[in-house]
Amino acid sequence: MTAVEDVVTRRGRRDTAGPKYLSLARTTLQQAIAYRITTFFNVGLTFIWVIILYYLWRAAYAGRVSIAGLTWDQMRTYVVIAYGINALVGWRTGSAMMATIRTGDIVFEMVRPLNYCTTQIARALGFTAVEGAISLAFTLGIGLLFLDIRPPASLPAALLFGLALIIGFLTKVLIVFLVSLLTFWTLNGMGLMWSQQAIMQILSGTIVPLALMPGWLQVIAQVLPLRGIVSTPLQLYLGTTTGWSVVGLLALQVGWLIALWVLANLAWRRAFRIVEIQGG
Amino acid sequence: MPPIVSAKRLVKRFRRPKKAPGLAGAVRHLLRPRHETVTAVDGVDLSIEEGESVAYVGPNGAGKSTTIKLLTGILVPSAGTVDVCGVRPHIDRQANARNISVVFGQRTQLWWDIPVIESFRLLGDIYAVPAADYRQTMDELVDVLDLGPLLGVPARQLSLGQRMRCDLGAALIHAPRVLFLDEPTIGLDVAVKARLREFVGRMRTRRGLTVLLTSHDLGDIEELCPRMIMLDEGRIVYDGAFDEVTRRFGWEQKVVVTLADDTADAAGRAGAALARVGPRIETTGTGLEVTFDSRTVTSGEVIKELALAVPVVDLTLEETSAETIVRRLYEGNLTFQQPVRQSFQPVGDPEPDR
Amino acid sequence: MGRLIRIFFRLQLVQLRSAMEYRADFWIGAVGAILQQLVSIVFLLTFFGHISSLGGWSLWRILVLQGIVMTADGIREMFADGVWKLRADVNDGSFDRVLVRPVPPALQQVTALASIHGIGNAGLGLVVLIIGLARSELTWHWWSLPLLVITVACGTVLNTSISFLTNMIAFWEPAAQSAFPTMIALMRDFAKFPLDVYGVAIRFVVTVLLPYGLISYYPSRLLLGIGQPPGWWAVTPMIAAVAAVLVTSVVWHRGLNRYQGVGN
Repeated sequence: MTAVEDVVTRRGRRDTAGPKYLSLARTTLQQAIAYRITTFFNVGLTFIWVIILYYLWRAAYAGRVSIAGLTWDQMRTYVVIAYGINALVGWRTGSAMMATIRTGDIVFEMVRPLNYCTTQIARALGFTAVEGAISLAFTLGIGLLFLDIRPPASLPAALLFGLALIIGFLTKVLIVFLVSLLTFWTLNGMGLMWSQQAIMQILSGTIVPLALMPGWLQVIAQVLPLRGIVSTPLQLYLGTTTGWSVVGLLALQVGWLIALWVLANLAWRRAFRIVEIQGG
Repeated sequence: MPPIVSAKRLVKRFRRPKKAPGLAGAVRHLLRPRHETVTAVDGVDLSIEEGESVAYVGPNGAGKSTTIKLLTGILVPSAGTVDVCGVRPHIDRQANARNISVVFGQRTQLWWDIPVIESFRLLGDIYAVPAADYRQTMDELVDVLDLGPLLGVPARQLSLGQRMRCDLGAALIHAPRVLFLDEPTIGLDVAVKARLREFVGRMRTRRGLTVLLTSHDLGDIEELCPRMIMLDEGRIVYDGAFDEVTRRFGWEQKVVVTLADDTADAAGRAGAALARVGPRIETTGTGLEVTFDSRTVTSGEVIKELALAVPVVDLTLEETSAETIVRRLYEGNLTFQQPVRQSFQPVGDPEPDR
Repeated sequence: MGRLIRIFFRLQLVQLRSAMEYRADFWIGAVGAILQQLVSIVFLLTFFGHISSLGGWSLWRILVLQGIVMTADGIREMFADGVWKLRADVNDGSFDRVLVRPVPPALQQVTALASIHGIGNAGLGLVVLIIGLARSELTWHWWSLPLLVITVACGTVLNTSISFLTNMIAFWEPAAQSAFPTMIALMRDFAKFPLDVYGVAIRFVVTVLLPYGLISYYPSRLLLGIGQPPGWWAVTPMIAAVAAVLVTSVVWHRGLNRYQGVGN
């Protein structure tokens, strides 16, 4: 079991935080590799909608050059990479976080002088390594072999994309973490996961690029942190945003990341305190 | 009258894949799978008359649960035949299901989140029990098993002992002719075990119920099953009276003693005190284990001598386990012969080791 | 037979009661399930904000497709979700119990779980379906409503069969924890859109291999009067359901034989 392995790994050494969190990541990496077949299908099934969207947009673009400023090439690329990004933090990360609470392993966390949030991020990295690798394979496989997606608009675009991707990844992990804390108060983790996944699919720009959304929805999506997960990296990738708008996008991403980090740390400490008082 | 449960030359083999660990092993297994054959039941002959109560005993892994699954139709035999109430269980499964009932010690058949009484009603429906019969049976079960306060409670809130009682009741709602109990008393305390034993005994006498009970703890079977069939490595090694077995082979007893302090020569002193008996004495971390032949000396005498010789703080008298008895049987170089009803003459009476 | 039907409903009732014990969790599950379906609707509404017609299919007509698929699956979730418990039951030995009761094992397994939150999906599906039908300007015939009801019913049977079939892998590979059955089940989303847009490969998969399309597209063409569909398309749902049940039964019996031969 992860918790026990973690305790054993620590061995009570008083060293820097880095190695501890790294060994946590390594443990989940081993778990994730053991479940590679399940992960393969879990990632694969998210790409079902890539296929659906591909065909629908292809029909839409017949006789049209651009929709809301996006060309067919750009839309195709957007759809494939959006789902690829979405699969980086998949089902397993969220349910593992919830499982810690549900099974009661959480008590191990509560007696350790580690930052619970950082712990969960470290674990997520372990899963992401495998989910990300498989997702990358699907994205490149389907994207390059079948759907002919386009490379980044330019070198700066590619670099900005990479940067935004990392910030977006951390953003998603923090949000999934916050949602997982709700497991303290409800047993139905599945319901929470479904709700979070659905809302994220809409407001991150996965199911539809933000630019295409009806006005009112677009406004909501533009201020929330979820856009930083998919929409922002892709806008940079495609080069549809230039100049100061780029700075604005990144600033929003980073700003939200900091806010979420603060919120997450407040939340878990509060949750622990409540549990300590109530007795779980 | 033909026996109500009969098995002839029953064999069950399992083919288990042999997989080497790791990724290389997985790939190799994919290309050229290797299997090994495990024989769980190796030519078992059973014959149980209506109304009998039989204990089916053996060490863990002997094939007890597999036999039960073969007798109830859950598994199909590799060879041999099974007949329960004139029906072949794995062929006429639903007809067989009406005649029998199974209680699995580890798993409940009650629905987890609904009150126990609802589970009972549902079972009454599933087994098509006529309303009048259901009422009468329920009254009796509730009374004998003292289920009254439990009826309105969801199964998930019951303790292990309470759940066991409810499972027994549930098993008898449709008045089966044969009741199979697979390790029914694991984890239960002595009082509950006693109550269960009393209940099953009563069902036998009142309703002519035939009972087959598996266990690896001989203490369960005492007073309940006059007949014992002992199984080891898939073969029957004994089939006869329970009393005979304990009388013949259960003579080895063990007293476990906790000493007040680390007396250096405790073993020596105890050995000296019991010299005329010649027990086997082992030192443990907390005291001594004294194994003796209860045919030559009573446990009371042993305890008395020990208490005089060494500073005893606490002691327990251990029951004889099935493992011990099987070991004894083999040490006595026994071969199994056709059981004569209720009395069995093993070839080669084991001599006590002196 | 009547007894079996009665037992079916009693087993459902038991599950319903069990679910009611966890009221808050029910609502969270229901909301979650509805939100998942809503993603598809949000996409549609946005899509049709920019496109007016998809090869002759308006937003409302596509909503009819969505409604049929959602309602059929919602009903399946409510009454026949037990198939998703098969792997767990085979692995922990609970499946033995199914073999010693005088009720067909398939019936017991199918009713082993009733996800009452499916009522959210079914409800949303009906709403979407009704809105789609209302705004589609179709001509109602005497056979329109029966066709619709039969289509949804067959859809439920089809989805149950396919999910049952894919979960039966547990009999041969009990340890396998793959998400394969989930992936196959999710492919019904293809049928939420007109099959005309897809390439040949997808159309083949969704019509012949996993005939989700026979439940939505073909009967809807008839219902909505799109093109000149031949009359016999009215029985495509039944063809799909019957074929699925046949295949599932065969594999189920093989699976049972294997379980009884090999143990767990």
